[in-house]
Amino acid sequence: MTETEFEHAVRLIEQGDSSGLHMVYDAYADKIYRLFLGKLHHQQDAEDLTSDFFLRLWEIAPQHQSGRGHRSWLAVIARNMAIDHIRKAGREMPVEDTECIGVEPIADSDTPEETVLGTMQTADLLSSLTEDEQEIVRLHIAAELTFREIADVLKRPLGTVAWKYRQAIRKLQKLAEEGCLL
Amino acid sequence: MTRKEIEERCREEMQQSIPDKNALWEKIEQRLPEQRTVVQEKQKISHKVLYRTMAAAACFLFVVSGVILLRTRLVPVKNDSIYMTQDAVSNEAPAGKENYGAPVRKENYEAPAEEECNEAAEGAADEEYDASMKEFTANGNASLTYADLSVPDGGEPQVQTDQLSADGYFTQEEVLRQAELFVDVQVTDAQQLASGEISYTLSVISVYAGTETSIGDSITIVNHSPYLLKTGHEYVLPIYDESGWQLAGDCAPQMELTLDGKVLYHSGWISLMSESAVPVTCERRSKDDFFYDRMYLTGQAELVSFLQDWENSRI
Repeated sequence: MTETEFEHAVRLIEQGDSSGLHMVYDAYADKIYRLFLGKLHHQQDAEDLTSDFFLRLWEIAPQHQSGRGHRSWLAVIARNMAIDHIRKAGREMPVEDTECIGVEPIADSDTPEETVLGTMQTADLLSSLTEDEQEIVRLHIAAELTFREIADVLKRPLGTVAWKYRQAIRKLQKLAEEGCLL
Repeated sequence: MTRKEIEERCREEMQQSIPDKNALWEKIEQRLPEQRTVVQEKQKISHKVLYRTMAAAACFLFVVSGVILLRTRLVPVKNDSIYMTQDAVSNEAPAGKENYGAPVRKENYEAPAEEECNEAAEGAADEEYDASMKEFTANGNASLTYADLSVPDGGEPQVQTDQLSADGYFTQEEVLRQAELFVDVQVTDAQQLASGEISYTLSVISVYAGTETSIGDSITIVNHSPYLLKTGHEYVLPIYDESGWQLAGDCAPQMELTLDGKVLYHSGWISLMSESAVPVTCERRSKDDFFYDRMYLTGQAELVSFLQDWENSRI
């Protein structure tokens, strides 16, 4: 969604027209859901929070300053809601939770790396990263934010974000090569 | 596995979609309040704000006109040097330096109408830059231009301006220090690939690694940085191995060694800063060129000291 399209949607929301909110929902609901899922590791909670997110957006969309990146603005709101939810719940959801999203084992293939990786869940590999690294990887891959937008969301320098992402990917590569979890 | 394959695996894991997107939207739509009250309140508030603003403006005009009236009657107009124009101050060349162009100062640059700067990211990086730069800019060292440098073919640095983006700017030494090693190299060849990246062939002069490392007499680095390495020039590059040698901190101009033994570096290398560092400037090449006034020249002593510290920290 371009900035112009987003501003058009905001104007519709200001006029009380829910089609504006639907435009944003169509464009970003899945990404917002993935952000919440990555933080909460709980499918139902992620869905509920996604719903709350858009209801909040309905109220605060006019506060968005036109010309400023709307994607990072939305990501900041989502991130803050997730943090608030976790604090209220009083705990982080464990990865082993039965409603956690896992990945079907990857089908065997010829290369040793793919065979090794096929026997362990990618979610487990990701959990070997630090919180910081996980968050940056999720924002880049799941929410499809650029490094610049991630730097904006996390209030970190751009170079640090890009470097931590590269380090995280290198860590995962190493784990895949070693064929074991640390 | 390659980096792309890892990313693809992560993407498969992470890119979960909402199980029933339409059903969720229906739930949201049902919960939306019937009427928006925010816009009506905004209108009421904006009227109040308008009246207050008009009243404040009227008071301000009254005060200003009163001051002007008083000044014209009682205070003589001064035409001493303290009232020199901004242009006169910034273009005044120090004595004996007639041959070089006037230093480009940031405050004289007229920002383009639609400058897309990520102020948050740039501001965060700038805090560190400004904190360290205060003491050096206060020294008032006269700046140089690239034409003044002793390098093989002189001239401006090579920059692919269409590749510059505000997204790529940063000046963090912390990131640069995470290189696996530093190499002193001379560029023997540079070829543009179909992907748009540049493949540099580098003749290795020295290696600074902290541990015994042999990387051969020549290495190849493929890089997309818009700040190009020039053939025949000598650089000290922070590199790491990731399916081939890669440049750490490739979003900025690299450290270059001049023919007269000095070091040209960008301000992110705070460890190299000293009282004798001289700013090296050039014309700003595009709105996303953040290094036209952030390059410095210093003696090799600072670089040697930095590399020794870095090597010791790696042992």
